[in-house]
Amino acid sequence: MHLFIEVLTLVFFLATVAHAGATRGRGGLALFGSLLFLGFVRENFVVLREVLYGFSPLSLMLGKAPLIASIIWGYSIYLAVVWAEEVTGEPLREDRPSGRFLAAAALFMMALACFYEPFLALIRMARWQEGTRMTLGVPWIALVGYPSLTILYLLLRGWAKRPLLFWTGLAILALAHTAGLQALKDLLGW
Amino acid sequence: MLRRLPLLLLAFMVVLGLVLERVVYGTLLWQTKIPVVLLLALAFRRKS
Repeated sequence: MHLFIEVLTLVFFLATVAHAGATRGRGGLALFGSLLFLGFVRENFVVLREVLYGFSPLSLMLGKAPLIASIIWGYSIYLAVVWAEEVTGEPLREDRPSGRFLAAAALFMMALACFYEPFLALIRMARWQEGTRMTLGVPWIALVGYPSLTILYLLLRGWAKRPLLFWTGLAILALAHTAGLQALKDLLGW
Repeated sequence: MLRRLPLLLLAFMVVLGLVLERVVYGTLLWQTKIPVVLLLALAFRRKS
């Protein structure tokens, strides 16, 4: 079952990459490149530092972390962007997105957290730290983590125009967001 | 419609999730899918 979910998610991810390429050209592919990098750094940090959650042994890996964990961020944030564009009527801007756009993307990511997390727990693909507070299988901290990473990524994308600054910022964002989320989780007792 | 294709893909993923939950695990985590279903419905209600 795990391999089926891994391959299916990879197919969905590649389909959305193709969609981004077809509808946004090189900009869309660059968007996905940066999101894949963000997910890769973040999830490998989660595994290496043993923070937030752990994974079952899976077949497809990217570094020390499961491939599915790295690509799901790109897939999800791209969906949030598409959804925010639909409901706000604003295209994803190259500079800082509007507050309305960011709020819409954040809301959609919270809905995705509600969808993903109980399912991943059911199929035993990922397991949050012992004692993590949840409602209906949705960790409270995930309702902070999903939208906050999305908002920070979109703000960084609009702000850091120089490639070196942007890619360095992405790595720092991935590490700081994960460490910060663990610290917040500990602080709140979530 | 091409613009919304990723959202259609997600709708398919939600349905597939429900089918797998029911058939393989004998349960239905339907409550936790309500937010995403409502948001998808909102997007598809808007005229393209």
